[in-house]
Amino acid sequence: MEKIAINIYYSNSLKINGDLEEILFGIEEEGLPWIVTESEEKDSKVLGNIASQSSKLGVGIGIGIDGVTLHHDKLEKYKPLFTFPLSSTKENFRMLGMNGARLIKGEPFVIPKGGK
Amino acid sequence: MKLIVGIDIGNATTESTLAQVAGEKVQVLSSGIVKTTGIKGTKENIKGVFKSLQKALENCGKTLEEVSLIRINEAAPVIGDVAMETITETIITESTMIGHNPSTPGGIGIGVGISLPIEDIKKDHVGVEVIALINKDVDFQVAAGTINNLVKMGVNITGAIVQKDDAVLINNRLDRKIPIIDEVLHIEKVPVNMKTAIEVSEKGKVISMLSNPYGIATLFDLTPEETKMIMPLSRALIGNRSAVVIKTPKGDVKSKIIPAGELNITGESKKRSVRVDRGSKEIMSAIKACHPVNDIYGETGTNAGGMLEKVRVVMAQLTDQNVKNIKIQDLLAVDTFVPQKVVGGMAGEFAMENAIGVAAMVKADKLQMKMVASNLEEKLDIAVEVGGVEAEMAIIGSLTTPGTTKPLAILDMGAGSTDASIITKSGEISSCHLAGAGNMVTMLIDRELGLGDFDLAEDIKKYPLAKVESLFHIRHEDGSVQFFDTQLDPSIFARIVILKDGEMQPLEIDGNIEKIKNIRREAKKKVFVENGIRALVRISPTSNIRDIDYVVLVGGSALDFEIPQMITDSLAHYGIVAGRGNIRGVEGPRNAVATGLSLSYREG
Repeated sequence: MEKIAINIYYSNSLKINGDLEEILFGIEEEGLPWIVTESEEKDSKVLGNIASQSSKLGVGIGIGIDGVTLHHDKLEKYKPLFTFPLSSTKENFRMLGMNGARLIKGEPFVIPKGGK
Repeated sequence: MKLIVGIDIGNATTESTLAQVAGEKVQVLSSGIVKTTGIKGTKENIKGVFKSLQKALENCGKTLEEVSLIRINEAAPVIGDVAMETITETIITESTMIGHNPSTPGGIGIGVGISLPIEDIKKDHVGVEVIALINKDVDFQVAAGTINNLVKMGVNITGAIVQKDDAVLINNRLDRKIPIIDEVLHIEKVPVNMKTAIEVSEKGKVISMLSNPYGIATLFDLTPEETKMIMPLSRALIGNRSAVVIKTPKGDVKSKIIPAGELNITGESKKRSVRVDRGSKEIMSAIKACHPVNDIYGETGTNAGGMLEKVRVVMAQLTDQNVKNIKIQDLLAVDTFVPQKVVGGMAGEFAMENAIGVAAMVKADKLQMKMVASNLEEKLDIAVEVGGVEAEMAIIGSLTTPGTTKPLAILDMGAGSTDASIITKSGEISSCHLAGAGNMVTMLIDRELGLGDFDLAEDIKKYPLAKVESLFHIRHEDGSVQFFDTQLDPSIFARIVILKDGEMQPLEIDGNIEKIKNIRREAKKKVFVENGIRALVRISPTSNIRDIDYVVLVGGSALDFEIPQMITDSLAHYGIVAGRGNIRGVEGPRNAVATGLSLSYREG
């Protein structure tokens, strides 16, 4: 049976370690599970969309070569909730993960600096 | 035929009514409303008068040159002010506690030990119970690894206090789970090498040990005397999901009672003194017993004294009179609880303290309406006269509300005072002015929510609340749900918002919508329902509220979305028909005085 979790799709040309791993820690600190899936796709908006569509919680994170997106399955296809460049700080990646969890918990977002 | 304008300069708004006069017939053409400029009764009003007049002219396509007379109100010579003082206060002389609700603490339970920075915990501490302090420079994986190693070595780590939001991450990596409190911003203030107790409760529960004085006594082996001293500390921790208590040698917390003092009420025939800390009921009944009141003053050197002195000074400045000549002729007292910063708390803790709010009303010598009138005449080159008494004009205006007839009482609920007048079948009018109105409600909301922002409190008073439940829907305070076809702004997600003119303004307030709604509604009831009844009793020809049949609510606060219903409901118990006025069938509760000023004009 598929796990109920926040789905994370990432481009196979990247590795989730270092600063990017902070996204996972953000979700963990908020007490939610996640599933990480590798993909051929490179565009973060597309990855985010696939991730949210496949998540039982309707929340997905896309990590592409152009950046990171937080997506909700009820949003328009390629219009993610938050977008961050790969050069973002550790703190901002952590916040992105936390916000993914908070979207499900219904708690106010921590609004990171530098995102849009 | 000529054009005349009635202009009412109120505390909050300046309203005008433009009318056409042909013999006995006065026909209203249009009206205008703008914010009052400056304090009522001063030269600064003229700007507002001019704007208001311009609005009215625009609304019916007339020009200033056609106006032959301006009638302004002889304002009721009363002004009000509000003040609040807390009666209790909590002071911590040494930093001894953190009462704090991080959104995601780690672990569950109670830990007691010596507070030590994690980098200073060594072999020497084998067998010792230790609470680890982890500052923001320590990565959570390092922290968890260190704790696991120390525990293996035999150091009994019983809990941790963390600066960053890392509690769950650390706890998930521990071999033996401990309670962890995170997001302690000022971790450097936590005293080192002191006996420390930490408690984290389950989700959805609150701490039980540290909010109980005997719980603290148990953990710290306190004597009965010491337990008594620790009482205010437990009280300040009630309702938290997690807390830290640190016993420093000199540490002690005091709840000190500030002498609240007495109010001395001098009536025309009676005198009463009443202690402020006895509460608003006793104060109000003393004021009622002394009616009519000549002056009220507070005991010097006490809070009551200070509070009324403040009001007196403000009033003296406004009316340009000597402080000694300012007589407080009515007072509305309200009991309340306000959050007060605990003096000496480490994380900006608040304790709910008893407080009393008062609105006071002063009879001014006379407001400078004559001066305003002559100034206006000079500026506009139009004849200006000071029209009738405000209360009479308000009644004449209110009688244009469909469905009303003499005898009629009106409640004019403004920002500064609540005024009531009554007209008998034969046309005699009497009136009274009471302290306490819209501004008092705003003050109560401001202080009870601990906002420190009068404008925000004003918005909370005026507009209903909602909670943003998803990116696409909000739940209104009555429970109904509204969907949107476009995504809502992420910055308001999961927040409580004020629905102001179609906009959603987020509130940075902890706590749920019910709490804010209750504070808002209670503040309105405490002021307007109490004052409505007080006013009607006073103007009733028989002093019995039941002998009044019809009451029309006018004034700015009658525009409120719930105050009129509260009054309608509470007066229904006395068999009174009460409701929001609808001046000339079109204006709602606004424009009563200005309408009265126009309609009461007689040529000749």
